Amino acid sequence: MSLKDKLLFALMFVVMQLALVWALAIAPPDKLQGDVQRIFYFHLGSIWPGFLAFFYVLYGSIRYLVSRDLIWDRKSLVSGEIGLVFCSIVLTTGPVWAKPTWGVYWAWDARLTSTLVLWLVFFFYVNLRNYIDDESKRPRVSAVLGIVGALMVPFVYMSTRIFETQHPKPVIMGDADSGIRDPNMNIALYLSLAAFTLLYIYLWRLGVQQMLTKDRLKKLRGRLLRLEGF
Amino acid sequence: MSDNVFHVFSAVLRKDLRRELRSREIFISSFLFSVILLVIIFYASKTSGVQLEAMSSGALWLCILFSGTIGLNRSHQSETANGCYRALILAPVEGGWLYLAKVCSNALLLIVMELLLLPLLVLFYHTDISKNLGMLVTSLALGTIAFTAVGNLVVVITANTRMKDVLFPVVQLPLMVPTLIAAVNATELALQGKTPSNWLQVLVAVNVVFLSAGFLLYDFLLEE
Repeated sequence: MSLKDKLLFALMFVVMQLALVWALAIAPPDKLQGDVQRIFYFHLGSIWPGFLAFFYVLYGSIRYLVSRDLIWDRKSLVSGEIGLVFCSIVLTTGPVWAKPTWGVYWAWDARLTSTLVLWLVFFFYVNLRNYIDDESKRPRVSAVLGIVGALMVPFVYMSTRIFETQHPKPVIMGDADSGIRDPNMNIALYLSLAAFTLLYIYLWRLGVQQMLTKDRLKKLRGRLLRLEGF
Repeated sequence: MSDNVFHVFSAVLRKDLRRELRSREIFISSFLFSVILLVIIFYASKTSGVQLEAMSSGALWLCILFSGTIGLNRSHQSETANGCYRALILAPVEGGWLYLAKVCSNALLLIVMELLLLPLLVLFYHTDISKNLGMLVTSLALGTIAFTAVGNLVVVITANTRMKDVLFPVVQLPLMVPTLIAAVNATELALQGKTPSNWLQVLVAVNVVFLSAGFLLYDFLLEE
């Protein structure tokens, strides 16, 4: 682990503790929803790096198709895997909040549906390569699927504005009547956004290093087998 | 170059349509499948007490989605037999034009099937299709083009995998959800005699995004 990674880990650790304290203790409970609302800090905290990860898949896939450098395939694959985890967190924290607030775990709301669809699309992005036998085709075909899948993300985001929805309105860059008034709630939100973003970057760096080490190991093993005359 | 593009585009389009006119295998199987689906959807939702007429737009799009998926799969399989695909790749144009030709031929076949399904909707579901026929056809056409635009990409993506017949619908259907929501709502409003401008805008956006993505990406999928 390089010094950069260690520093990143330390920073992430501190910010994450602060986010926990602010979200669970310092920020006041919501007037209407009570303490249940606190899950929102982690819900929004995870969807943001989730979207970020999927945009990185788009970027990395385009870079791969242009340069044909395998490192871009690895970088976007790791990003897709982490994005899938964050998307899963969103899909599990959402229903936990929805049951006491809406009365049901799941509503066929546009935002919920499209997040589920996004999760499915990226599940296939991460897993489709296991079904491709030809190793030279694997990164190319996955890159195309990654681009097509990531192009869905804007439609997911637009869905809250276009479709009729019962999902709360966006609190950042939303309309005038939505948003957070309490400063401590804002601090908790931004701290958790920062914590989850740092977590994404940290995991991504670790994942890419792991992938590259795996590739190197495979190459070395191949060379060793050839040297031994197999 | 532009001459070449037009020749190849129309040749692929004509080849697909002629093959279908001669064998009619895709058309007949997907049309019959749609008719059976209409019957099944009726009995599956009969107990819920939904009005027949209110169901017709959803039922129609389910038919398009499922029989279209069968059709796309079949249409791609016929290309892979006897190395037809390799011959297509040799065409002296960018792969994007082949993609557009495939989208056109598949969309045309599906639209013809939809036009034949409309009288069946009138018959089975007591739907009045005459209230805003222009908008109805526009919604169906835009939705169908969006469907084939995504489908023709996914069918080639999954063709590279071990379980292509299973994976194609499984990967394709989640990608179809935004199109399906917009198309069902647009068709529904058109059946009520209204103009579904919001939903048509979504459909146009999906079409523009995925047709351009397909045009640019198809070359990468054709590489051997």
